[in-house]
Amino acid sequence: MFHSIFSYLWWIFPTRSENLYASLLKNSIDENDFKAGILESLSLDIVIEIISFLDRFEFIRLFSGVNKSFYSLTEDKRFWLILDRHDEKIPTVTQPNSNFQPILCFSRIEEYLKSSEKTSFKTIYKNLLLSPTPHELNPVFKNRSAIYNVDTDLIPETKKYIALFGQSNSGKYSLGICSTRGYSRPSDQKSVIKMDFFFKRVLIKMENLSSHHNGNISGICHTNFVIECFGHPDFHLKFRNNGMVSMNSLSLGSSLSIMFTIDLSVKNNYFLSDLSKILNPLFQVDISKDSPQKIRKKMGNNRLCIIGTKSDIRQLSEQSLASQLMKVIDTSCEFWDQSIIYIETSSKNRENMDHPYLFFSQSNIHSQIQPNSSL
Amino acid sequence: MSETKQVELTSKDKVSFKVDRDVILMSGLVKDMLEEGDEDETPIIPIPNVDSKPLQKVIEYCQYHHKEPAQEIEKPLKGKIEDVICDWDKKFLEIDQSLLIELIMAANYLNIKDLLDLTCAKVASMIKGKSPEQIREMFGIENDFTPEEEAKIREENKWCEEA
Repeated sequence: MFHSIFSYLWWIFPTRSENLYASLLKNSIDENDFKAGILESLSLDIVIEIISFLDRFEFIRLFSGVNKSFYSLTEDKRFWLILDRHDEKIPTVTQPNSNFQPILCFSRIEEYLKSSEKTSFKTIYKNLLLSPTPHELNPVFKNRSAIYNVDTDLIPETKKYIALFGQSNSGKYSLGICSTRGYSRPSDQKSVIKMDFFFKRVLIKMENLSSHHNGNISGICHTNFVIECFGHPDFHLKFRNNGMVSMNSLSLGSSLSIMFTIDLSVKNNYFLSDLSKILNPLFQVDISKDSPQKIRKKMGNNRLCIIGTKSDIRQLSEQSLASQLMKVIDTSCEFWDQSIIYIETSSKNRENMDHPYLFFSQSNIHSQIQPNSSL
Repeated sequence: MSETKQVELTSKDKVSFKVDRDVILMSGLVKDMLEEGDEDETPIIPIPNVDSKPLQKVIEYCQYHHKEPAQEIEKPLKGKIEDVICDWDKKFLEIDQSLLIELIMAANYLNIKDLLDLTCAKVASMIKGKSPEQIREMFGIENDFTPEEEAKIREENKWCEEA
């Protein structure tokens, strides 16, 4: 039976890694214990097929309250993957004239979060999934993929939860990691950021962060780590006691990518000038010497995202490595396929964006990201 | 005029059905079996997992849809299945619940994807809009939650009710 389910999943997700499904199946439901009345005569893979015609809200609403077996289905990771299959139908930015519709508009979520102090994250999630229509999108990101963060300070009930949404060119949502506002790295203990698979790819549980909260965001470099992990259950990132990101517990294979987001509008942004210090140890990329092709190759699935105004770019061009960097940046519509991505924004839009990115102290990034062989 | 090639299917309860070969080729299972056999004969194919009643429905479906390919049913269903399928399929699905379940299993066994989609979508459509109590009643499912557990789950899922 498990073999047939595995085959089924493999058929649905032919491009995913075998390991992912193997690990999912470890947590699968024992079919012998599945109590489903008349439906018991159906194999679990047929039940999956039936569920695939429901949306995720119906799935939870209808199934969790029926009995323990059905409730366990809602906890089963495989079913979330089935439901996520719907997401693949969302048009991608690489499709000409597509009606691109990311699941989240930053301004919308921020407005939503501010509207109620008692808002639970589940409700937020629900509203996010009721996708904004394109005209509601922040113009900065209209027709473009982007990365969004939610500051957990705005979610009083669930301070330990954060979310980040984006969309890759394959139409899958990116999953990101961000800290609470003004997060200064833990000083004396490891903080483990672990995906909470209740909502699968969009929630991350943050542990041990509340005691390291300094409430100060000004002057912090906007650097962001985005992981496209496609729902890997074993995924977690460890933030070591110096703020360094350790990737050594990952086994995500080719589906993993890290995105560094650099917001050029942030003053005192000395991140860029030391870009090589970031890229070199992680990807063995020398931005000042390597050809664009070589950089792309070395970065693999990982990406550097630069967000800025034209003015920012002019300033950028004054820097020594800018000309080289700009050769790598490709602003074509297929930018998600590029290793270095540039998203142009206007000053006005920048103001509206407030603090969409949150992250780690710039100085920490400089000094503390270290090479890791697992990348 | 050349005679249409036929295939004889034998159900679990030993009822035989002669079907045009072109029709039953909609079944992936039968297709595979026919590819292995001699084309000059009228092959007899046992279908040991399917009773005559659902098998007859399967044949009925194939007879219609081998000339009129079924339209893909969008996932997830936006409304009732009746809104997205053709009139013939609507009439075809006017069957009791136990036959529907048998038909799902037959479609799965015989590997007829369109029929499996249609029947699974029908069940999903029956579930949509129902309460957990109604779903239990519909499928004869026993409620094994304690009242406390049930209340807790109801509380957990409040957010979904608003969706």
